Amino acid sequence: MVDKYSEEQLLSELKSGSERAFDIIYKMYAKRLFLFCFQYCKRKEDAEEIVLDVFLWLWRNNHKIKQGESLRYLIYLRARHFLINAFRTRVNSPIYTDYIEYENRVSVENTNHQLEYQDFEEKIVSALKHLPKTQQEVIRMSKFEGMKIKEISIKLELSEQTVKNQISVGLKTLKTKLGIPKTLLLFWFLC
Amino acid sequence: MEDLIIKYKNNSLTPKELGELRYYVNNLSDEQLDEIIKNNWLEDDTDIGEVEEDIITHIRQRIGSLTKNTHNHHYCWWNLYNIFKVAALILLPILVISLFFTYKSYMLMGEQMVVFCTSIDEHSKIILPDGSEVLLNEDSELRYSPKNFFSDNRKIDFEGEGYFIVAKSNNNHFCVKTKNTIIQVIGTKFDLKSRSHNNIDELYLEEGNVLLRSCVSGKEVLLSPYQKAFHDKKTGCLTVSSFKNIEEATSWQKRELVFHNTPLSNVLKTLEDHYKVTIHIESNHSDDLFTGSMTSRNLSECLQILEETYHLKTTIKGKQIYFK
Repeated sequence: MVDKYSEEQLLSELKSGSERAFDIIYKMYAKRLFLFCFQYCKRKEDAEEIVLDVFLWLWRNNHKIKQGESLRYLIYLRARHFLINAFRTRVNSPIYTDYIEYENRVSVENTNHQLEYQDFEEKIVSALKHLPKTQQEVIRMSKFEGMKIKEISIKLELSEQTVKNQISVGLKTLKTKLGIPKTLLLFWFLC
Repeated sequence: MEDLIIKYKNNSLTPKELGELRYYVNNLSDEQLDEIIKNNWLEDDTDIGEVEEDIITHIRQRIGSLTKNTHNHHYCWWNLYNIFKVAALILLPILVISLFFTYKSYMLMGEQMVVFCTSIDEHSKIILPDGSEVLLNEDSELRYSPKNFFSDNRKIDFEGEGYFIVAKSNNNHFCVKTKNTIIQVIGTKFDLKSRSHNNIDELYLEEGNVLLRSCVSGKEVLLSPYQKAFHDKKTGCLTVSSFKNIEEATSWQKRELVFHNTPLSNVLKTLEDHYKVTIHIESNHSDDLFTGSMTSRNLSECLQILEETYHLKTTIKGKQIYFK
């Protein structure tokens, strides 16, 4: 069905506002784009939003498309900034680091804790909410914002030791809540 | 690097590898990173079979509803805008043109004269903008310019016969201009007769004051009530005398011809004027003074009265009447 049309023809039809051409293009690339974005940003909602944004843009700006441009490339152009930022953020995110370590541990220990990153993150976030405020705050700063202990102590006006203690206590509680083996949690502390 | 990225996408990095990747990424510029990701996308051929259909369909639906709204929205606005544009294009010239015509006609209206006239045997009553009344006898014409009527003197042009009841106005004189005379009044009642085929203009003043000026001679005369003035159009001579009964002059209103010690020749002249006939009579009766009234509607009645009064017989040949 898709091969019937050459891309040039598709593009020119899209330019003249053909919804049918748009549908074909969508079927061609939406899934792939979604998967690609998801693999970079690790979150389904975010990937959805970017796919929506790209195709909406494609439809609304069909008149701006120049003949001879590759559709695949056009799609990338619209998504590029999102992808670059998501990639940088995720690669540097402590939670992602934890997750990777967790994943590795899981495969090593052969347990059945197979989690997607998204779920992993969500679990931590929701469990965090049940912690007392200071512990929450401290863990959030260290885990999600990647702040150093010194930085946290300055910001919250606590001593560094207090900060360390708060993290330790908080993680213990989390462990029970999440059911994550103690050994794994140790890695959390490495940041 | 590319291997690392593949592993990253699959979440199959080791912590160590993640560290390496992080190091790499943090040392690349956005442009360099862009290039890498771009190539990754363009060459991407991972199996997309596992992607959930629901998500993709859902996105498509959202696009559908979003573009529908925009489409309509644009359409509506485009339409509305276009309608306004077209309407303006059509209406604006029409408006301008009609304004122009209105202005023109308004200006013209100001300039234009209002004309009242009566035909034979027709009487008419006119009320002027200031409230003055004019009763027009037959075959008479009155003109005035509305524009001037209030601002300047109240001026009218007049020919024929009419009875004027002029409203009093402190500032403005009322001015009647006939072919050869100018009459200025303030709040008066008078009867004016000025017909083109007559040699004499006649003014009978009933009330108020009137200044009568001859355009022929430049002579002026100021009349008081119950004075009448005759103006000889040829000489410009003004003659003033008094009268007793205004009906002498105004009997035409009742469709009567009233004469009081009027020379027969004048009586005949009046009949000639009124009935549009020519009367021939032997000269020895011309100076007889006639007093009486006759109808203005029936010539034979009038002739009968004259016949009886002067023991004459009339012979009528078309428009010619012969008294013997």
